Amino acid sequence: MGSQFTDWAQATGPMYMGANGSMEIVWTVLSAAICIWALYVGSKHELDAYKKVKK
Amino acid sequence: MEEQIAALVAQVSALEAKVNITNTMFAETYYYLTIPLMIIIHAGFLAYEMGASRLKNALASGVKNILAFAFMVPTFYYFGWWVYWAFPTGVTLSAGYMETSGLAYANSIALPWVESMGPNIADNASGVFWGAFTLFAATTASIMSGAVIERIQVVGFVILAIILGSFAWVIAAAWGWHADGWLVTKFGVHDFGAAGLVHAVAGFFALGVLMNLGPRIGKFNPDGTANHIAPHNLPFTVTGLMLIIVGFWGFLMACVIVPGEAWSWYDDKMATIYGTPITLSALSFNILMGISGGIIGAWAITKDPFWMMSGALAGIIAVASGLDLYWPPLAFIIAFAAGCILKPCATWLENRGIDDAVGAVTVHGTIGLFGLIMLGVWASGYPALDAFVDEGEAPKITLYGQIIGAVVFFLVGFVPGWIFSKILSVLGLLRVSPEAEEAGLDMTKVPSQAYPEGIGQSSLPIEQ
Repeated sequence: MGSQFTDWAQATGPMYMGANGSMEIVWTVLSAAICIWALYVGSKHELDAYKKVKK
Repeated sequence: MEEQIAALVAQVSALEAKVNITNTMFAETYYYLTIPLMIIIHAGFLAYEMGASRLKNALASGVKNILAFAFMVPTFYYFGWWVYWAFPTGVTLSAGYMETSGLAYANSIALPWVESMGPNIADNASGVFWGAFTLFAATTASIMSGAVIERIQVVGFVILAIILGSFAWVIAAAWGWHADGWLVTKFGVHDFGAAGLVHAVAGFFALGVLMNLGPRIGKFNPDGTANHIAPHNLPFTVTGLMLIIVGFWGFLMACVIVPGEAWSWYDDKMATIYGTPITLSALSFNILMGISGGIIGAWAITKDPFWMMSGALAGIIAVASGLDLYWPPLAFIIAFAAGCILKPCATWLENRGIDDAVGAVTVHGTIGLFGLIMLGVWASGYPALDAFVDEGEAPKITLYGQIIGAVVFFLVGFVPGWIFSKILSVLGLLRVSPEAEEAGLDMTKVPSQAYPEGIGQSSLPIEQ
């Protein structure tokens, strides 16, 4: 994403990558999607395991 | 002469700047250190739940507990923190008297894509406050975790933990902790150490879940009498409880507002979250007396190390609302009473068909409300806020107000716990299959054994 600063004296406020841009919301949504995906995969694994033990 | 005065002014200004940055560093470090201290609570919950499980479920209980913590962090970042700042005045999302609440304020500081929610050299406070509150949230979710061991689905549990930790208790905190909270400004609710808004909310959320989840297979006989399902490692459980108590020093430390910052209540003294004065000495007196009273009360009634250490936790919870105000021997007496009533209250619940594997509903729910109401009995008349609200006078702590708070916290916990667990039950996401429960969750889905080369599989998982 590159740096917004050419030296650290310019850093007087937000200093994370992509600050003052428009990507914060994208990363937020993407990370939330990972959580939801993990829950889906976890639930599938769990329900499959219960089916196996039933057989 | 003028040059000397100018030099002196410059020196004073430089000194003032140094003092300010030292204070800012102190404030940031203070809250930063509460975070690892509160993670000790989770080390404790992990040991406590794994030890309280039977051998065949020890690892599955651990997995569940670890995931509660892990999912609480991002979800509290996404919306929990925003809820705390948006909802203090109620569901209208309007700004309160302090002007640090409501929709516009929450949007400006707590949406997950604003500048204060990431590395920012001009903001030494947002990250550490968010971190401390995230650990409050994770603690709240973990309180429910122990009650439901050995038969709940892990993903169903995680969904419930998110609802409890990143929403339900946060609503209670916005209403009863934030200085603009309507329970505080209208009814003078005072709950410094969160006996009601964390412990009772979590305890009664757990009760709602337990009612839909049902008891473990073999817990109750056909005639309704209960069997004791022994933990596979009681020493591990008791040690876990002690770790929880260690971590609670961090939890209660984080409930204090340090002085000297733009967001502080005072320049010269510490304050509660309500802006009323407090010292760490007050906490030291009353936390220690609470632990001691709770242990002795539980020992007097049960002689059982599990209930003695649960009594220690109950002792802290019983006095948590008024750690800033109690005279230490009175705190001891209240905690002693909590320790005494602990086991009888848990037995009462068990006799009604509720299988709470670790007594969480009683320790956190019942004793949480007990502590909240006790403060109303003993501290009525104290100003509940330092700030002056719309009416021009700070509300007072009253028994009536504390009872209103208790009812609200009960409902904020129990109602969502029951409703969402019912929905998960209908969707088939709440309880594991009977076959998996009987086979043991470790080998069914982890799949691994806690002690593959050590102690063997328990031949008597249920003791009469």
